[in-house]
Amino acid sequence: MKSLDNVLNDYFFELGDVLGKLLDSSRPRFTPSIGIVLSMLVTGIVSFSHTLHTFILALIFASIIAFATKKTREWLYVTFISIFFALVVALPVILLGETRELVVFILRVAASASLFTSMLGGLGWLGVVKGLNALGFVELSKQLGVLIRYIPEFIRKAQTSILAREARTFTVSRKNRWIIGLSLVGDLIYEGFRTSYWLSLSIKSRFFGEATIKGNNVLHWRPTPLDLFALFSTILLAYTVYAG
Amino acid sequence: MLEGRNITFSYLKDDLVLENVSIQVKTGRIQTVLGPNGSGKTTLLLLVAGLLRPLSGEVLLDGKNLFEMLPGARRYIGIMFQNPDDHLFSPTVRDELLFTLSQLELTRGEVEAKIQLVANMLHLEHLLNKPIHALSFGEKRRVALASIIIYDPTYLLLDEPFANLDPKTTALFLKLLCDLRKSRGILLASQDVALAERISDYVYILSNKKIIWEGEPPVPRNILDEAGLQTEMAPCSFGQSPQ
Repeated sequence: MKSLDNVLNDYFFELGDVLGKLLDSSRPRFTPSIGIVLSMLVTGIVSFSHTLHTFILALIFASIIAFATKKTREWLYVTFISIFFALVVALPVILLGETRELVVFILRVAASASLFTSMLGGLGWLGVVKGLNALGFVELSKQLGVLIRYIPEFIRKAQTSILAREARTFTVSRKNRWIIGLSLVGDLIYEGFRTSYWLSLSIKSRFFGEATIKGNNVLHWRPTPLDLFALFSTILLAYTVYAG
Repeated sequence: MLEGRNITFSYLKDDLVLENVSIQVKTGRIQTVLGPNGSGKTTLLLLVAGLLRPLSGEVLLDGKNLFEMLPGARRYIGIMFQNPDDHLFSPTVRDELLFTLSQLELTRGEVEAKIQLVANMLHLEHLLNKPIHALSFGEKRRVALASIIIYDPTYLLLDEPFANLDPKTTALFLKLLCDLRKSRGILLASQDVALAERISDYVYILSNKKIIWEGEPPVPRNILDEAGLQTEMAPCSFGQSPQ
């Protein structure tokens, strides 16, 4: 059995890995503002549909986008996790014998989650920030930017804290593992407080007026092939919902 | 001139961190506050930058109360924190540089030109689109310095700017500070006596909550002793295995 500190370390390592991929600094495959609008629109369309062929079409489109953006692994993770949780939530429906409702519910969750994830994967978190900024949500994009900046730092601090404890743990016992795991909580709360204190000072020190330049690419749409594909998918899915 | 006059400050009741401290940051020179760990150097910088309010005393910018001119007056004061992770809050290097520029009513072309200029000065061209968390410590320090010199403040307050830097980055910072001192006032907080004496035009020694000495370097040795900035090293034979 893995010790608690190893499990925590593995957890933080995996989390860091996923975040690292989402924070990929390479150029987003979608135009950020268009990517955000289309991802919300298409997720909304799929979320309100009832027909099986819409769900299947959505999953096909999502897989194509995930493959094109080279985020297939992450996309599969999210899709399967969505199916698992949808299944758990839908268990009572099985008891009622509503099999079709069950399948529709699970497919709806899986299709909308996988479509949204595949587009988000193509945008990356930095693309989302840029997109929100370009769409005029300047404050929201700044807040999201701060969040994105500090999550990896937080994970790094947690990992360092675990390693520091492990380096001075000479006996392996269940009690020690729990001490390591639990003592981390206080440290992380304190670290959160300390970080927010300095963050507020840092922002304050460089705030001297209102923002006067707007986002970087204010709806200058220079469509990428994926933009066009996402637009085509959205129109087709909307049509299938409309046509029933 | 940026001036802290008779400043007294405490974080906790009845536990003063600074007591009746006065300091002046004049343009055209580098001033350094030297003091041991925990002497209140960082707190003094935060007070002079107008980020903390003194219990008594005042902070003046060109003879006027700084706190009555905030936040607009922050345009003239740039402070770099000791830990770059505390200083940098944007997702990418470019966003960090854009934060202040976006408040200056500049055109997109002017903004881009300023970014390129500062990136060139601090060798950040290849890092502009990188996430901050992926940078090394030295790179983060360079970005932190870039984030304040980009908006061209008159006074630069730098907290331990040379700590933990490799020799190359130290040399880059030294050259930059020498260039910047011509038109700006620079206040450094440090505990590196040798470096401070080499680059400073004026030195303040902070110890036991007070400025115990100020003047042009070199600092008298007895003052350094008193402040705990100079100690005798215990004898140790190197190159021999312990018995």
